[in-house]
Amino acid sequence: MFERLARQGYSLGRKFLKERDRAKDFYLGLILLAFALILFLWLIPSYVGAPLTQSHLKVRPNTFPNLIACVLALLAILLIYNSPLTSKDATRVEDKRFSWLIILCLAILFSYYLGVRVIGMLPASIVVLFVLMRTYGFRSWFLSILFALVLPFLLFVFFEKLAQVALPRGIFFEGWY
Amino acid sequence: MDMVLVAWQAVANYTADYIQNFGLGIAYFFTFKNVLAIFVGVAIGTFFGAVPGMTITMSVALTLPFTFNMEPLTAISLLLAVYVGAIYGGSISAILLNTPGTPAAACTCLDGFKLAQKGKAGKALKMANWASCVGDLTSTLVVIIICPLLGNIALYFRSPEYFALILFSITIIGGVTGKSMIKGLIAGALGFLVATVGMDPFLGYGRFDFGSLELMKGFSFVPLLIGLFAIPEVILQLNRSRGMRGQARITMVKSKDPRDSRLTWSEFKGSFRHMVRGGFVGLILGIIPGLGATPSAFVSYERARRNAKNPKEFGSGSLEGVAAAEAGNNGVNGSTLVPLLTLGIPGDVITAVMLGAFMIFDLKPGPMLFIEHIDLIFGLFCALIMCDVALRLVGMVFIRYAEKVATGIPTSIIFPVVVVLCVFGSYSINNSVFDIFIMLAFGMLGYVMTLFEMSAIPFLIAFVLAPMLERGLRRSLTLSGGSPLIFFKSPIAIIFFILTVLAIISLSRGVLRKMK
Repeated sequence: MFERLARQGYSLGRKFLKERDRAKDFYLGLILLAFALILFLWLIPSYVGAPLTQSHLKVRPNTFPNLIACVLALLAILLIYNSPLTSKDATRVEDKRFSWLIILCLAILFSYYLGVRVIGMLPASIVVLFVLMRTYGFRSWFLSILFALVLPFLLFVFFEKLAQVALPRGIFFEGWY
Repeated sequence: MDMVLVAWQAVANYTADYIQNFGLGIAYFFTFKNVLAIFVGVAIGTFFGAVPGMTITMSVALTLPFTFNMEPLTAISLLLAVYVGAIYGGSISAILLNTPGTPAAACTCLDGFKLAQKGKAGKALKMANWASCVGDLTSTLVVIIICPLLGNIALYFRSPEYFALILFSITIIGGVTGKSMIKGLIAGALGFLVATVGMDPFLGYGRFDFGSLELMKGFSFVPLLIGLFAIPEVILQLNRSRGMRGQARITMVKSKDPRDSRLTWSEFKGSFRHMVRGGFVGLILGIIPGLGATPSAFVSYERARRNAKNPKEFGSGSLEGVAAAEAGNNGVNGSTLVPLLTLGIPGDVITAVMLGAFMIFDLKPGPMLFIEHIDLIFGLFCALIMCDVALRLVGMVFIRYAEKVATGIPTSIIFPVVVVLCVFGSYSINNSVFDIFIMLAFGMLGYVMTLFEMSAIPFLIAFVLAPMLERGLRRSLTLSGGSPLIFFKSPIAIIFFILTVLAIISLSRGVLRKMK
């Protein structure tokens, strides 16, 4: 098994350097294996609380996480072992998906989160809805502005008045009801 | 003679109890609010299901935040109705656009779109509607009869049995969803891991909280669900919608003959047996965890093709094919509820969402629910039957305007709206802005998982089941004084362990065969 792993690592390493071909499963397996080890050796011992005297306990708070870490490591090894040897069989990462659109989309989503924190739920939703509609390629300016104003307002009314959920006000409408 | 008498008495008692409980359920369910919830739910579901790119899970997940302030039965009926509607709605775009609105409708495309090309879209849509109703009703009626019986069996499940059962469910779900069994199981393990974040349920010690009060509470189910299932689709659709710009829409073939958009009695009668068979296929596949609507549609279709009078028609526009596929995928509606209600174990994402909804209302599905809230269970059965009525009526309206609905709304409106709904929904469960961040973070994780062709379904179900699994493990080990032998003392647990091993063997063999 180790010989196979070593051979696999070697051939993939060479491929990666030469042709930048990627066999996803192999790398996924490596990442997961590393993660499982980090869990087992560092995260679980330091970040799982435990009583000082554990001798009376048959099962501890860290039993279940440790068990999962072991299973994860085992599965990661299986994944590496099963991953296709040559890049020809491997499903390649579709480069198309890593376009600037993804970055843009994520940027919009996370600025939405920040927007809710700072300017409040309603204004942030209006801005983001408009920006997203333009990004998705909605043509009409008028309709997108109208829609971006109406829908968040309706949702606002539903959640505030019917569902009694206090939505974040933000700096502009602090204390408004 | 005595035995017969005892048996007869047991049956009589059961029937009497049954009728009494059903009465309670009817009294509890039939209020204006609940019936309205069913109709609204089916309409929302059918609409979302018909929009390509909106999955069934997304529809149910985005409806969930709107139900927080409702009564439990109204809320769960609404979710159930959205689910039933979405499965049916998927067939509308499958027939009209050759794009299944939901994966479960992929099989309906085979014949449905061929019929639409011949100008018989109306006929196909009506057949799909009838088949959905009949298939669903068949399996629902059987479920209503057997479910309370299974609830009694579930009383024998204690900690070791639950541990074994959950292990078995996750193995099956991880094994059959997605392309690779190992990746499915990895997703399950990650789901268990994420669920341990927060307070340890037994001793109250923090786990992976990194000193943050927000993390100490653990991840909420709703933001996690919405993030995992809606955000990746939003990102992927953005790429697709920009790529699609300027592409011609499929032109609809319109027939002038009014007979082509009508369904005749003989056509209905000819397909009726396929519908009922589809209902039974859905019933059986729905009870097994991890399977569900998509395989059920294909199995039902295949069975119908073998039993049809002219099997050659299948694939080139057969009404019987549409009926079989639709009855198959709607047949699972009732039966997926069986493991959820009797054992508290969800077999697929939708029932996992339902379990989440039950938990929001402090209800714990399982054998105790049959004792404490029997009216709720029978109320749900009434809701299921009502869903079929609503499906028929709402379907009639939709078919008339289906074309406009399915083709009229561009993705450039749908997905921005989905984003806004995601944010409102994840905030409103706990009134916490941090939950929006959690939702986005899990959205990223979900997207990365799609890049690695990993299914998010085992992840979510493992997340939901983790507390039960850990409780099962720790309680059993505490009882036995730390000896794992306790798991092999219960016959039910042993059966599930054997089934798990068998499942792993058969699934990995299947995977190997596919690789060759």
